[in-house]
Amino acid sequence: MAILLNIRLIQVKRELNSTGLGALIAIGLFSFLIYAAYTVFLKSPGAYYLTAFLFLACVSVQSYRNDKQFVYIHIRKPHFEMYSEYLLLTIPFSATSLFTSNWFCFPALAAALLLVPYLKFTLKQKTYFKSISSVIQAADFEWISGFRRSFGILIPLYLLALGLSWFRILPLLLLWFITVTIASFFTECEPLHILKEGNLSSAKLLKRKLIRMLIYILFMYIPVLVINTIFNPKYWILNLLFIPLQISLVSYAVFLKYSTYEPNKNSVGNNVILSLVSIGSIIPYFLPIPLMMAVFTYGKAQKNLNNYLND
Amino acid sequence: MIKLQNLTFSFSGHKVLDDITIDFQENQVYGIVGLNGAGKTTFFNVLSTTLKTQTGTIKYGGNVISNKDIAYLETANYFYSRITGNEYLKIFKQTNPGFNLGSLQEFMKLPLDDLIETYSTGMKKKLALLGVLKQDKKIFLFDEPFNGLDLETNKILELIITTLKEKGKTIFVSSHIIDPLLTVCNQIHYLDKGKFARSFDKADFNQIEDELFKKLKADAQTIISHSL
Repeated sequence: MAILLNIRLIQVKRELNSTGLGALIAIGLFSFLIYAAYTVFLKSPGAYYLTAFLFLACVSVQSYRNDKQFVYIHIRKPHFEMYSEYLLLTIPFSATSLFTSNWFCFPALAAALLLVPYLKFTLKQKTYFKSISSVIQAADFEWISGFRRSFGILIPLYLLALGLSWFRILPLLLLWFITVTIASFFTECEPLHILKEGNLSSAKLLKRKLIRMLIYILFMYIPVLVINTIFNPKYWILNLLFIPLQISLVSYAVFLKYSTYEPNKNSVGNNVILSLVSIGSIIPYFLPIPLMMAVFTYGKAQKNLNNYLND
Repeated sequence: MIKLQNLTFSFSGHKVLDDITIDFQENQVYGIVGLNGAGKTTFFNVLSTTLKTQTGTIKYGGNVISNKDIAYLETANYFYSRITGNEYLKIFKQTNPGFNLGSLQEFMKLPLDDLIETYSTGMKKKLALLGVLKQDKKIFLFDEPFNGLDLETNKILELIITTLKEKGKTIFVSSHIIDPLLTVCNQIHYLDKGKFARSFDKADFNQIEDELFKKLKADAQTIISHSL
């Protein structure tokens, strides 16, 4: 087996083991995503867009991954190894096209992915928003870091949500995309000395994180939701329920991070589960899932943090 | 006084710290030396409460030592991605009233408005040091602080350690380079196979090279002359 795939398999196994019951939900939602991909492949323009999206996602991963130099120098057949990774990453979705009239999307994507390992450039990081800590407290470093990483998506989405806030449902969908992006802020674990700053107990630390999250989300979402309610008074209940749903999703992201916290660790596995639970948060029958997961994970987060915060 | 009593710490059954019992007086600078794998970093991690004690106790002023008493500059410095040096420093509350970032920056010359990812190893070390100095703690642990620093900053660090001592702090410093320790320390302890095998007071510092490295030098000389 390819070396990199073997490493990824070990990483996925480790992450799934550490998430316990969450792994079952993750697998369920992952299956749903595969089915969703199949339904998109059934119709022509959608099939092309999805193929292009999968290709661009791999290009994006390639341009930002920081192990490129290592792989090119130390791994035999680096291009093949990387290609195998991208192929395996996309196969669960692209292979569903084989059962549709757009079957050619599968070989087209597989062929296009051959180019990706040859993209050797790494996008240089520039320091945007140097004064952001005057708006977002430095103690909320996940928000600062996450905003810098995703402002290219967040700002247009928010402006769109605000600009189209009189439309029915659409602004909520745009805000949901913002919530999903915010949830992804909480996958990197801070070093221990940052965690211990302020000598907070685990409960107080989690409470602090939740309060700050609540402030930022309410500050961003309330203007859109108020305008939306004024123009669509029939939907006031939906708008009212929307905020707790988004808060429970981000709360889950916070608790999930700390339930698997290890100093300096980047919880890649959490990303997968988070995106799946995020998708669950807009499917009617799955709406309570983020809240249930948040409640279920809170105790685990507190218990795990006690290992680091109690002298 | 910092009292270590029967301190043992193991990784997978291998004793890295082996039944250490030793007292450290306050307001002193202690150097910790030893070869790779001698247990220096584990000693610092246990002393700083980063690792929980398995067997034995560490007491400070009669109480179990607490993270609240300790500022720790680790040998490898980790930060958080996509934050600037300024933002990193702002995370820590300034409890040291004398800390003056502007003045220190005259020597450190860090690009504090840039992302930390763009810093060199030495710059990261300086930034971590500033974060540590911002806090008013009673005990300072510096694990390999001289690594990666330029000559000028090495000298500044020596001065910083001396100043902290003058302010009544207790300081532990480890280093693979013995010279800076000879300048700043009151005592140097040699850690070997998890035990403090030898301690040197300032008056005995001239014996350190001979005692610790005499046999090593002789053995190495023989091996090298036969190998090259």
